[in-house]
Amino acid sequence: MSLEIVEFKPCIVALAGPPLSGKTTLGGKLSEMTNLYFFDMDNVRRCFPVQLYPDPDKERDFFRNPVRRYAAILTAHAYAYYLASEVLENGEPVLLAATYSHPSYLNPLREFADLYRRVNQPAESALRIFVLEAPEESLASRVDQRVSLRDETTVNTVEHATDLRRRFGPIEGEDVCHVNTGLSIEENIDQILAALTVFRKEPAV
Amino acid sequence: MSLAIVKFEPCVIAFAGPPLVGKSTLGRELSKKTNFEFFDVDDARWQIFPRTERLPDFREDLAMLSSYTFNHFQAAESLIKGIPVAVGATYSREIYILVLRMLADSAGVPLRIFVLEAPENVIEERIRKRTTEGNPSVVNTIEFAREVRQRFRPIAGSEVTPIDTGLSIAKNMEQIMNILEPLSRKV
Repeated sequence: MSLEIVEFKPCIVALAGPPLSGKTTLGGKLSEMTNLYFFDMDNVRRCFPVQLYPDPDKERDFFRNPVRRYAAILTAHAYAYYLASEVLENGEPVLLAATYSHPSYLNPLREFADLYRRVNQPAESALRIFVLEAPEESLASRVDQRVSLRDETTVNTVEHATDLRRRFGPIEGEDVCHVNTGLSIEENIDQILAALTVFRKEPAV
Repeated sequence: MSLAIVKFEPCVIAFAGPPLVGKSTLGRELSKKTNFEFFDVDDARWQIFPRTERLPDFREDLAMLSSYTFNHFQAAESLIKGIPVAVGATYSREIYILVLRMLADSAGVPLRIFVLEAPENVIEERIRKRTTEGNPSVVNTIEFAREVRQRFRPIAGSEVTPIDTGLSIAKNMEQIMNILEPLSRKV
């Protein structure tokens, strides 16, 4: 495999999918291999200037209330777009990873892409959304792996992960591409890079 | 007029409209006279982005989106406690209205939107007053106010009521209280 970094023009790439579908893993790999600047919602929500989320061990109770859940998630998303706007203004492409558990959370993402298009006038939409789906039978090993890594995740049982998967709303649209993360990470990366060809920088002659 | 505070059931009301139409004035007045808590998007913005200079357009739009959602987040905490909330912001884009509706829908409470408007001479007078008071608005010229007003998209829906803030605050409050009457707490 070539060690050369794949360079993209400014564009907005989103990785969506239920918890444990592999967003952070794929996002990390993509940000190593390309010039995509990676914003992982799990990190962004914790660096909001005012405390937005409680300590990890209290998160599950916190999120049981739907009003608080919507309001906190939307705020974290909007702040991620604000941070990403700075990167785009510097001429760099961005990669965002978030659950997008309900189609409504896509409204701010699409608005963000529209605003970028309106102000910076790229010829076509600069947004691509990849929806990651892991096979149900792989959930148990994914949960085990997380727990053994002492990853500070709120999703630490198969029941919880299955429940969240069930609640995950369909994400559709022309800019949406489905990725089966039951396949190898190399296959996933190939699929994603192929779908992003249109954003590749012209190679320097 | 009675000095008793009028109490309302949990609900979300928004004071929308272009700059200097009196959103904060009415919001504060309502929170004095009733059990509504008022959340001003300017205060939310100040908490997340503690600086005054305007950002380049694209980033400014996203800073505002963060400020709107954070303002709703703060209001959500009161809603959870069963307190009715009022939010004040321009609500110039459809996306802001969408996230506002999500706030009310997620709490399962009614939403009312008051769209404030004032004649241009009133706006001009307010710009002059705030400048001489040493408390100028970000929108500090009539040209700037016109420009923002042009960008303002009409908000439609059965829950929307227009309010003419060229009239007195007392008149405006009377109209608002009439619209909100069905949401008041019955003893």
